Amino acid sequence: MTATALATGRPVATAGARTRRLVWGWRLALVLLLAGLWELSRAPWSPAAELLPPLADIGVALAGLPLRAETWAAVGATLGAALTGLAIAGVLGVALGTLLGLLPAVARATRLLVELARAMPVFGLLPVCILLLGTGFPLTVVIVVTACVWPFLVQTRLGVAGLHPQLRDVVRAYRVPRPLVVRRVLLPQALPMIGTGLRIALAMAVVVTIGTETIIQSTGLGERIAIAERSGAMALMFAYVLLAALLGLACNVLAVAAERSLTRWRPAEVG
Amino acid sequence: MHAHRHRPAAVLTAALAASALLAALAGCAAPAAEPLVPDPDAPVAITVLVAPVYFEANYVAEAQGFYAEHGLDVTIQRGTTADAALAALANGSAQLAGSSGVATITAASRGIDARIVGGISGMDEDANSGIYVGAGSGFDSPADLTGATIAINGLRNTTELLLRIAIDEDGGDSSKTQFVEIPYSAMNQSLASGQVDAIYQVSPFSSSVDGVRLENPYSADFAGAPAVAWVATSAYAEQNPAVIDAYTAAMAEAYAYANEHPDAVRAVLDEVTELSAEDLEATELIEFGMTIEPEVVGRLADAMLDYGFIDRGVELAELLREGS
Amino acid sequence: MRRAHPVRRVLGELWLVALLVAVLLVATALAPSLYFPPLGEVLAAIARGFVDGPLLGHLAYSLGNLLAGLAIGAVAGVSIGLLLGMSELAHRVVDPALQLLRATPKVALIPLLVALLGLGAEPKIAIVALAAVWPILLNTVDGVRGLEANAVDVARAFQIPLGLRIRRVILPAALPQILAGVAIALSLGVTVLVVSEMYAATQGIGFSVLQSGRSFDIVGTWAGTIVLGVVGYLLNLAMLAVERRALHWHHGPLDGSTEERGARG
Repeated sequence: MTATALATGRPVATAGARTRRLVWGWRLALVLLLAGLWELSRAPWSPAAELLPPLADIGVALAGLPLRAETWAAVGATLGAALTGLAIAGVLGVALGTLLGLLPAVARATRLLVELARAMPVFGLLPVCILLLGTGFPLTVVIVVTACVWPFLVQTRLGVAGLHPQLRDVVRAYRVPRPLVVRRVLLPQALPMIGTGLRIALAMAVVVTIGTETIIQSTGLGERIAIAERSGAMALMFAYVLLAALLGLACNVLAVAAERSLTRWRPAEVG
Repeated sequence: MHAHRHRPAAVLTAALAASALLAALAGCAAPAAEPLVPDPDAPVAITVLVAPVYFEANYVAEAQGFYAEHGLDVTIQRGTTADAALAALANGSAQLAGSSGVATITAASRGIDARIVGGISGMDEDANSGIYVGAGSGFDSPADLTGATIAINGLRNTTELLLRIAIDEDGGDSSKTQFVEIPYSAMNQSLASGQVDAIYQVSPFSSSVDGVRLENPYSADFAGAPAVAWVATSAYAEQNPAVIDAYTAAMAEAYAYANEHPDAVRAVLDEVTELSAEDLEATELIEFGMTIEPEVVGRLADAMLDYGFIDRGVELAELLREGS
Repeated sequence: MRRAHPVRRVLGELWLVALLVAVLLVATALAPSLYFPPLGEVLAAIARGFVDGPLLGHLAYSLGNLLAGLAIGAVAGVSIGLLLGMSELAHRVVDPALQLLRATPKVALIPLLVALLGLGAEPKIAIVALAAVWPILLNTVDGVRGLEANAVDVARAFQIPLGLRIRRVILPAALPQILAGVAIALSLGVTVLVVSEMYAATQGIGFSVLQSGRSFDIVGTWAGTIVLGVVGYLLNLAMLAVERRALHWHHGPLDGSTEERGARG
């Protein structure tokens, strides 16, 4: 997915403008089709008639979101929790991943533990964590960290463990001190891999934060979705869901850019 | 070389594992300090986690300055479920929390430190809340609900207990009744589409139910069961009796004020929910009152044991703060 | 590097887990706290739950819904993915919509699906399918596009009919990517399934854990959580076995895409 997804800008040659017009034409058709399907499923005979608000109402609600103070507070809270969790997960994941990459015996001994922990569906931890932590900010952060630490850890371990044999010989021959090796050789070498970890984790952080907020109703976009839903304000709920999707999309774009900038920085190839 | 390299790694791993374990076990710390005394000039800061219903008067108390008058600086936090509320009390992120009587009794039966220090009496049915069934469904009395599926807003809580009692007292068999948890906002749809046979609905959503309301089926034994119980840990309540007293006094004033000023209550609802103007207008407000009736709480605990909500009986002394 | 003896290898992987379990068993037994009950009790509760308790029923219900949802998501994802992978224009047209749909928080749609599909298994299957379809679809697209240049051109040049071309050339070549997508879908699917069992549910492992927590049954909550983790792990193992089996003829490691399998988003 990494390489191919980025290669969408394949040569379109001179017909570029025409193709672009064609693409946009079809996109417009697609949007109209989807809108038509939506309105059709609101017809009186449809089981969804009572549930789906008119598209126009959703549009109005979406346009009104920036005027609501609670929207900005919610976006702030969501990003705050997601980024806090991401930062903690990053530090923790890179540190542990480096450790595991350096010490194969530790990696072997902890492999099962790591695999078990990774396989845990994060939201399944909520009941236990609610009993232990309540439903405030710390809970959301803990859930985000639990979800996001693994891509960092796994990617860092892979990056660090794969030390080029020639480099390893050099390091050994000159008895370069361990800390220096980690800082100057291993981590830089692992940076592209860590970049991939960051991309995966960033996308996950936002989704997991909003999911948690929806379930436990802690301050944030997820809570706004839940409140709107529980107040029977369906158009508003869809508007918030759309906003959440746009936020997730923005984070994805940001994450891909972050990955690219980390990947571009490669240490000189040896041999 | 190989064996030589294994050792430190193993020791390090074991050390890491041990420290992680210690960190996990050291989760709870016990603060001990002088009792806090509320003073209007030097207010005591507390955090109150309100229940998801009947929280309006807390905001009224804040706006009207009742907390300040009683020497409290209250931070109001919106709560969700009782397990989360009691966890917040246990880890000290809140000092008081709104829970349900049934949830608090459940917690106490499991050895969790939770004392009821006051409560909103309620559960008095008004014309706009209660059990609704589809028109012409043939469910005319609680006993008919044997074998039915009923939507309530929280499993193993007050509504389920009282409905089970009502069905059985009416000659039905509640062990054949299925309860399913659905938020109030989604219940009407569930009833209309036939997913459930009956719903326990409240205003404002009850105004748009496509169905009929069964007359108040509840046993008179439980009239005055706490709709919301104000809960603190016994450690905090015993350490800081003056704070608890100040809080219950402030809330009693707030309830009285809220009963006289429904517009203030609606303004709070407008602020914290997304209810439409019509729904807001249709919302029936309850008559707030700061009372706990120990006999009713005791009967609740007994009934919970009978119905298997709890595995062991709970004494009133474990539940109620002395003098509340 | 010589390969360690199999027994040694297993021991090398297991000793820490065994030690940790032992330490926890002893520590929680010696110093039981309310929220960290003796591990022995928790394990006993798991055993009881499987032997004569409802745990097995909950688990069977959850796994059934998971597999049904995954199957629907896989069929939809692979077929739409094939289509989009083979048509540059179609892919460019729908890509923005796909990205937006993928970024939509699925968990928020659960109430809607329940209102639409009822209180049975249907909304749970639907939400799993809805979460699973995107990684499978996007990976299929990538897999198909990645091989377009070589094998497909040859196949086209020899005028192999489309159906055969898909079955014999495109699908096998894209299989590693598709399976990597299924692996992501699996972990995503488990996650949303658990959430769906926390809303208007009457059974399922997520429902069981939530109700234990709500009624302060701390032993039961830990028991359910551990079962969830182990089941998640076993599902991952099963997925890996499937991948290995399906790709045994494939040379070398399973493509770079396995790195993505940790993704839940």
